[in-house]
Parts: sequence; structure tokens; C-alpha cells
Amino acid sequence: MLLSCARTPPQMIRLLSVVLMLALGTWTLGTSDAGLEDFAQLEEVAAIRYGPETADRVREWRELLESLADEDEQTQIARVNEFFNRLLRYQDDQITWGQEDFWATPLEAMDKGAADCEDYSIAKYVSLRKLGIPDERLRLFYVRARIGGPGSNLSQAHMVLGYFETPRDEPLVLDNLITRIERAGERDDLTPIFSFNSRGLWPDGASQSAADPTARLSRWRRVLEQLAEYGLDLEQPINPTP
Amino acid sequence: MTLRKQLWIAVAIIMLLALLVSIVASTLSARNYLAQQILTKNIDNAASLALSLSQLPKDDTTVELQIASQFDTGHYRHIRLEDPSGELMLERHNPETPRGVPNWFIDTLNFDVRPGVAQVSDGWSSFGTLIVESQTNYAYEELWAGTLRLTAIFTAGLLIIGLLGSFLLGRLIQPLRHVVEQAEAVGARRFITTPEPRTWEFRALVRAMNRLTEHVRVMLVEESKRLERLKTRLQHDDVTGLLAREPFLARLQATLDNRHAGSSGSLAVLRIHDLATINQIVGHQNLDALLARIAKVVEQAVAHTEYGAAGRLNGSDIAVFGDSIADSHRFAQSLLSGVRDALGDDAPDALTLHVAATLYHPEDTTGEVLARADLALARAELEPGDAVAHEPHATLPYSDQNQWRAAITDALDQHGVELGRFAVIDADHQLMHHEAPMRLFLDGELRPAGYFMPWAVRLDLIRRLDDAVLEAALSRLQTAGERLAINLSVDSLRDTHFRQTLESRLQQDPQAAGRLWVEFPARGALAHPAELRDLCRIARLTGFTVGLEHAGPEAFQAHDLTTFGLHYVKLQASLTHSVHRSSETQALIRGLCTLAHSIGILVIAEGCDISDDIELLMDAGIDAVTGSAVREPTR
Repeated sequence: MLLSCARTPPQMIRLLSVVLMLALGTWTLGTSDAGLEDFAQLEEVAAIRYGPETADRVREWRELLESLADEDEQTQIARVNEFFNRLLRYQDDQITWGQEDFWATPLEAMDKGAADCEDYSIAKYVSLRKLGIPDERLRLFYVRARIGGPGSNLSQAHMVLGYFETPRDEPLVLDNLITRIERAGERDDLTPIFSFNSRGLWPDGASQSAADPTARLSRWRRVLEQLAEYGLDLEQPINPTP
Repeated sequence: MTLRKQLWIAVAIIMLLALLVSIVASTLSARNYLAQQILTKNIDNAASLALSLSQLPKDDTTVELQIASQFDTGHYRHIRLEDPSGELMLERHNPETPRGVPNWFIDTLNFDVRPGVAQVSDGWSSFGTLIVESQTNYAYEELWAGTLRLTAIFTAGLLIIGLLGSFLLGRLIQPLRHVVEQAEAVGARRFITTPEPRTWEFRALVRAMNRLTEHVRVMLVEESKRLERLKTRLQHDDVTGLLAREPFLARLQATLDNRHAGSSGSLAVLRIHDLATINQIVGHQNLDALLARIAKVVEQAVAHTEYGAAGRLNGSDIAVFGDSIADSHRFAQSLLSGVRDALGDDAPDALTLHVAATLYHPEDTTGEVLARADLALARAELEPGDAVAHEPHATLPYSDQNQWRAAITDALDQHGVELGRFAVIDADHQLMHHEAPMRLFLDGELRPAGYFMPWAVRLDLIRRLDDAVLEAALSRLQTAGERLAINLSVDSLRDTHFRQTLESRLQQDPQAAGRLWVEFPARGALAHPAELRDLCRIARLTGFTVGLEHAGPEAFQAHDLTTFGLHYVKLQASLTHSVHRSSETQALIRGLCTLAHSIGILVIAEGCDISDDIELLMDAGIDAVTGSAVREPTR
């Protein structure tokens, strides 16, 4: 009880300043490029909520995306894949979050500096969406991963991000276990079970969710809601293609 | 607008607002809840169907079976499978619309729930996109039913609250109606009190109204008393207490003018010879006392007549007239002897009295009657001591008792009595009844009662005449639907047998009784209170109406009219005549009306001969008028 009382005032001040900074940020950057504006905001949120280290990582992320904005898609996926595989170290949710399974937003993952398979996939998905790759060509795949070389009977549940050059092609797989990007057909250690993206989860044309209380009940929707709350709009790439 | 109507409108508005708020609140919250549930279901079912499709072989039959089985066994409106380029691959659709729900309701609610979307993959490559929409019909139907239920409940509530409210309101404003009645009663110079209600605000109002009513009543009574005193002083001679010259002559004129009833009688003038000399001998004060004693005797003489008055014409002349006195000579003699008896030995020796008398008849003028009296007086003054002289009426057809008896009996036997017909109208100019005075066919034409009445009284024929009048009135009431007022004599009132006849005749014919008004001369009838009371009892029993005619102020002042149960009183014409020139008379009449109304008696004015007087009398509180100025109301 005493502890919580002692902790309350700083928390309050923090929260208040978040709101203040958010408002300020929105106001000062109101005229800048629409896609970048939310990143500036994200940095401030990260700085206030998680501290300077996380803010640095977010800034790094922003700088990466800014530098990739004009590159072709192959470069983009390669650099994004590499960035997150390098930035975040793999760690089980049980250790990171103290629970069996937790789907973290990129910000949460960057704060911990750690992620497991779905956190990598989510972060890469968000990054590529922000770089302007449409939803139809990105999928998060539940896959059964065989471990221990060909012929092994050991397998584990895993998640990867699939990138489709065209909707009908075989996707390229962005994985955190095997960091090299390969075509799906070459990955005979992975068996796809189910795939999904964010299509249809938001009302057409709406960039923000309509505060639907059921959203929190689904892990995937929670992540998407959280992103919207940060002000991160997936429908608006940082450098809209002319 | 009535309070009740306003109450209903208020209740209706409140209930309608409550209904609208309830419907909007409950429907909106239910709608949002349902929309969330449906969205969740859409998303989940799309995902699970996509998951199972992803696992299965992708031949057309399997895919179609999978989707069809989901669609057919579940609650869906639309399931659609698109290939990665957005082309339709497979679709199941249920176009049914909600049953029994109006379109405007559907348009207003407008469940725009997003479909659930999920990706079906075939290995690594995408096979298609699955779009799932759940059925929303039941939601519309359920919400519509709820709206109807709420409306029904609120309608029932409106009716119950409205009925209860108007019932309570009716009870609550009861005192208000009483107060209105009371105020109207005060306007009509009737003073009633209202019982105090329980409601505090109304109790204060009713209490104030009661106090006001009492104040007005006391004020009016005092005012009329004051005016009455004033009138008495103005109209009467200070020394003798008799009427002054003008009021006396007015009274005589009224008697002569009483056209429909007609009236005849005797007028006597008593002159004190050489008043100046007596004044010198006995002194002023003694003379006044002497005059007062003479006046007392004269007043007694008047009291014996049916209708009459006494007045002091000038210093030495005292006049008196009385209705129905047929023998003027005897009247003069009895007057003289009466005065002499009263004075006895106290009279100064120098006092010499001359009495002259004459008959008067309805066609006479005051001037003619006084002129005849003067003629007789001149003759009487020729005598040295007390003397009586009498001047006969020139125009009477019958000279003695026997001739009169024969004439009246013949007329009654051969022609019967005729009844006149004079309208009595109330304040709204509606007919109250017809006054029907008796007429007899004498000396070649129909004569009014005054013409033969003194002789009928003297010859004891009046009872026969009254019987004939009653029969004539009843037979007329049989045929015509009018209300008739007949004048009966005090002789009949006093006759037990007549009263019994009246009772039995009218009990047989309650229809006619209800329309019969019976009136008696006020002075004579009030002298026999027991008989009058009995007659009023018969009236209550059989349903006819009883009143007094020729009533003067003394009828109210000297008698307690409340004890009889009389229905109406007709004020004598002398009061009516002076109403337009004397505000005292108006005040007197107003006072009399107030008094009569307070005990439930109607007041009718006789002898209204000037049409302007009608409104004047009505303003003074008179309920109805009759006289030559009164026209039969047109229907």
C-alpha cells in the first residue's frame, strides 16, 4: 500500500506529460509530411513512457524507414528483416512478459529489446506497411517449424512474415530463426498452417478504430488497436508513392 | 381550456417524452451491443472457416461443401470467397429481410456491421479471401418487438395516470365550483356559505369568499335599513305618522290604476274645523297630540280594509281610503264615531269634525274622487257641529243590495267567471306565468273584479266566486300548457271546507297543480297565519305555488315570512310606480328583495306601467314584473 502510494505521483506526472507532449507534438508537426509525423510522436511516447534508450531505438527505426523510403521493395524487406533480427534478441515470452504467450507491439518489443517469433513478424509487418507495401501482399503465417535438420521429427510452432511480390506468387519468408530471406518453396523446414493480415479488421477508409471494446479480447486486434493509439497509421506510408 | 384537458396534455407529453427516451436509450444500447456481438462473430467465424479451409484439399467440391455446410447450418446472410485478385469464386447468400418490421425502423437502426474477413491459404500461396456476414434479421425483429412492447406499456401508463389524475383533479377542484356558485349567488343577492374544503389553498379561498359574502350581506341589510328609515321620514307626516300628501295620492292612484284586477272602495276625508282657532286655544303641543290620536284611529280603520291607506292631505284634512268598502256613508259614520270614541271627554269643546265620503271605481281618476269628496265635505261643513256627508258614484248601474245580488248571481249562473290573462315575465324576459284575475259579465260587458268585489264581499258571494275561479282555472290548465296565477280572497283562505276541496281537487290532478299559482291579498292573509300555514302545507303536498299579492314593506317588517313556506310575493303597485323617480324606493325594493331571497321567496312587482321601469326593477333585484308595460314574450 505504502509502496503504491509512493509511486503514484511520479506516475501521474509522467502520464500528464505524455498527454501534454502528445498534444504539443501533434501541434508542432501538424504541417509536416503525414507519414513521418506519427513517428515523431512515437518517439516522444517512447521517451516518456519507456525512457531514452527505447526512444533511441525508435529513432533508429525511423531513420531506417526514412532511408528506405525511396528504395525498391527487395531492399526494403531485406533491410527491415535484418534490422529487427539485429535489434531484438530472441527471448521466450515467459521470460520477457511473464506469461505463456504475449503479442507485443513494435514499441513494446523495442522497449524490452527482446522478442519472440510473432513479435518479430509484427514489427516487420508494421515496418513494411509503413514503407507502402499493401496489405494484400503481406501475410503473417503460422507455420510448423521442423528443428534439428532434415528427417528430424522435432517441430515447434512458429510465426513468419510472408511477402508476396504478386498476390499469386509464392511468398518470400522473413524469419527470425534463419535470417536470410528465402522463397517459401526453399524452406522445406516450414509447413504453413494458417495466414492472416489486417484486412477487414478496420472499417473501410477509417484510420482509427471506433474504440470497439471487443478489440482488446483478440491478441492480433489488440496489437493493431495499440498501434492506432500510438498514432501509427498503417494506411499512411511514410513516403506515399507518387 | 379546462384543467382536466391541460392535465391530460401534460401527462401525454411527459409520457411521450419518457417513451421516446426509453426507446432511444434501450434500442440504441441494445443495437450497439448486438452490433458488437455480430462483428465479433463475423471475425471469429471467418477466421475459423478460413483456417479449416486452409487445411483441406482445395478442390471445388470440398471448398463448396465446406462453405455450404457452414452456411446452411449456421446463421449467415452472406458468405463469399474471393481469389487473391478479388474475383468471386464462391458465394452463398440469404436475401431474406426482417419479418413484420417497417422499413423506416430498419433504415433508422441500420446495422452496418462489418463482415469478417480472413485469408485462406493453400500452402504458402494464398488461395483466396473469405468474407462472412452474419444474419441480422433477428436483431431487427427483436428490437422492433421491444419498441412495440414499450409503447404499449407507456400507453397503458398514460391511461392509468390520466384517469387517476383527472379523478383526483375533479375532487380537488370541487370547492372551486362551489365558490363560483357562491359568487353567482352573491351577484343575485343571495348569500350562501360554502363548506370549507381540506385543500389548504382552496380552504383559504373559500374562507375568504364566505367572509366576503357575509360582509356584503351585512352591508346590504344595513344599507336598506338606513334607506328605509330615510324613506319613512320623507313619506310620512311628522306629527301624525300618516302618509304625506304626495305618497297618499300615489297610493290612491295605484289603487285606481290597478287595471287588470280593478278595485273599488270608499274614500273619506276628515276635516278639523277651524284648526287655527283650536291651535290658539289648546296650544301647539296639545294640538299635535290631538292630531296623533285622531291619526291612530284612522290607521286602525285602514288596517281593517283589504287594501288601503291613510294620509294627511294638509294641516286640517286627513284622508283615508279602503278597498272593498261598498257603503261609503257607513264608512264615514264609523270613522267619525271611532274618532269621537277615542278622544272621549279629552276633546276640546271647539273641536268640530266633518267627514265626507265617496265611492271610487277603477275608471275614476284621483281628481274625480277628490272632487266628489270635496263636494260632500262642503255639504257637511254647512252643519254646525260634527257632520257626515256622502257623495254617491254617478255611473253605478245598480243602486241597492238586492239589485247587486241579483246581477252577480245571474252573471255567475249564466256566464260563469271569465279569467283575464296578463303576462308576468322574469329577468330574462321569459314568461313566468299568466296572472288570471276574475271577470264577470255585468251590465252588458265584462267587468273587472274591483267593479263588483265590494258588493260580493258584502253580500257574502265571494266564496261562490272563488269556487268558480278555481274551477275555471283548472279547466283552463287541463287544455293549455300555460302556468296560471289566480287571486283568491281571504274568506276562502279562512274557509276550512275550501281548503279541503282545494287539496282533494289538486291531488287528483298533479299535472295541473304543478302549473297553478294561487295568491291572496297580503294584508288579509297575514292576519290569519294559521290558515295560511295550512294552505302552504297543502301546496307542498299537491305541488301548487302559493304567494301573496299587494304586499307592502310592512308585510316583510311585521311578519316572519320564513315560517309559512311561501313561494313568492307580489309587491304592491304604489312601490312600483315611484321606482323611477325615487332612489329611496329603489333602495327599499332592493332591501325587500334581499330579505325575500335570503329566505327563498321570489319577488314580483305589480303595476309596472312604464317599460323603462322593467329594467330598473330587475336591477333592484325583482325576479319578475307584471303590469300594462309588460308584453307577452314572443316565442
